[in-house]
Parts: sequence; structure tokens; C-alpha cells
Amino acid sequence: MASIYDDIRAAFEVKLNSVSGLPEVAWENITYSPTTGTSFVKPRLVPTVREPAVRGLNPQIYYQGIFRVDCFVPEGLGPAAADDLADKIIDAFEATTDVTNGSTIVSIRYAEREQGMPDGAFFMIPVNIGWYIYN
Amino acid sequence: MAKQFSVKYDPNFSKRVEDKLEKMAEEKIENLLLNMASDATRWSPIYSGAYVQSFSFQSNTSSRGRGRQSRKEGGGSEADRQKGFNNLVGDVSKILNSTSIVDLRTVTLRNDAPHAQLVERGAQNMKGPGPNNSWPVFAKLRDKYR
Repeated sequence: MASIYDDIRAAFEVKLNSVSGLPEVAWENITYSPTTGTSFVKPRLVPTVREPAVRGLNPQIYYQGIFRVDCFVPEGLGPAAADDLADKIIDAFEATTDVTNGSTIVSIRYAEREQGMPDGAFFMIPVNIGWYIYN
Repeated sequence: MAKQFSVKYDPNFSKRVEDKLEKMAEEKIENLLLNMASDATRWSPIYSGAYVQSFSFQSNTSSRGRGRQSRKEGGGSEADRQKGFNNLVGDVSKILNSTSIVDLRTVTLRNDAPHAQLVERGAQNMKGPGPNNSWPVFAKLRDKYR
């Protein structure tokens, strides 16, 4: 039986891939060499909670976590490009919506961004998408 | 024959209820803070051990946090994780022993390591346990305890 995390990850990655105007994607644990001057996003699945949803035998399990998308744009060109990219991601994963993969339906709790900061040849804004699912 | 029922006023009753409620609130807050301390140190990377030992809890009545400089050669171990947790346990008992729960407005978990931002967000040229990696410890804590 496939891990529920595989399904959760797939649901998010398929949805991310469908965002229009998305730059290159540095997928998790795939070698990626950023090209200076070229924007990219770096998604990661960060589980935080796995616990029984109720007491008793064979309970349904509650999962919770973050789908984190770091948005990188070339440095020195102002924050607008990074802001636009972060907004696109937030719009695609708006709170109270769902992302699906087959019969797996992952609910979005919140989508929020953090402060941008320089990072080598890039300017980066992290976007955190909080999610949960009962399985 | 007349019957009567009287209730004797206990002048300490409200005080006893107040004390009981304060005690319950204190236990709840202590458990919450200790769970956060456990998660924060459990989720931290160990390279030199400086980051995990730089966590502190600050209340609205306490002063500055603790920050340790990372050693370039690494050398951290699981013992550093335990030390980091023990630091936080000490902070929790100090806060709860020195401040009445009624006066406690905020408790803040912070990490004053000079490289705390790098750990949280990673960097393209980050040294330490794995290039380009980040450990979003605070993002995970916000997710779990928001």
C-alpha cells in the first residue's frame, strides 16, 4: 500500500505543475542547478502531525503539515517579480480549498508568505501552505 | 414546625476557586510550552550544536535570550539536543515561578543563534549539514501550534 504521504505529495505537485506562468521547478531531492538570472520555485512537503483522530481501535488518522514553496527570482531587480510569484502560488492554494490526487483529498488550512530576503544571486520569498487530511 | 436551610458563607470560597483556576491554567500552559520545547529541539538540525542550544522562552516580564556561535568544524551531538531541551525546561519553570499566570501576557520562543535565519530558510551557499537545505523549524511550530 502506498504511503499516504506519496498521495499528498502527488496532489500538491500536480496542482503546482498546473499553475500557469510557473518558472522552473527544483523538485525535492532532484539535482537542480539554478541558472543565474532565471527564476525558479523549490517545493517541499513538510509533515508536522500524524495522530489518531479518535480514540478506540483502528482509528482514522489525522495528518497535518506544510507544503512549502520557496520562490526565487533574480537579485537586484526589486521585489515585484517575487511578490507576483508568491501571489500566484497563494492563489492556487487558497485556504479552504482542496487539492486532489485520485481519491485523496487534501484540505488547505491556510496559505501565507513570509518576508523576502536575498539569497546568493537570488531574492527569495517562502510561501507556506498548511494542509490536513483524515485517512 | 418551621424548617429552614441556611448556607454558610465561606469568605475564602472565591479565592479558592480563583487559585484552582490559576493552577489549572498554569498546568495547561506548562504542558503546551514543554511540548513546543520538545518539538523545537527534536526538529532542529545538529551540526555544531549551537543552533539547538540557542532556543529560549521569553515572557513579557523577562529579558534577553541566549545565542551561541556555530563552530565551523561541526562536532555537535545528540547531547546538544538534550541540553537545548533542558535550557527550555529551565526557562519554563523560571517564567512560571517568577510570574503570576494572571500577569503572563505573552511567551515567545526565540532562537538567537547568529545563523538561525540560515537554518530556517537555507541558502544557496549554506555550510553545514547539506547545501541548499533548510530546516523550517519555526514554520513547523507555527503550523502545529497556531
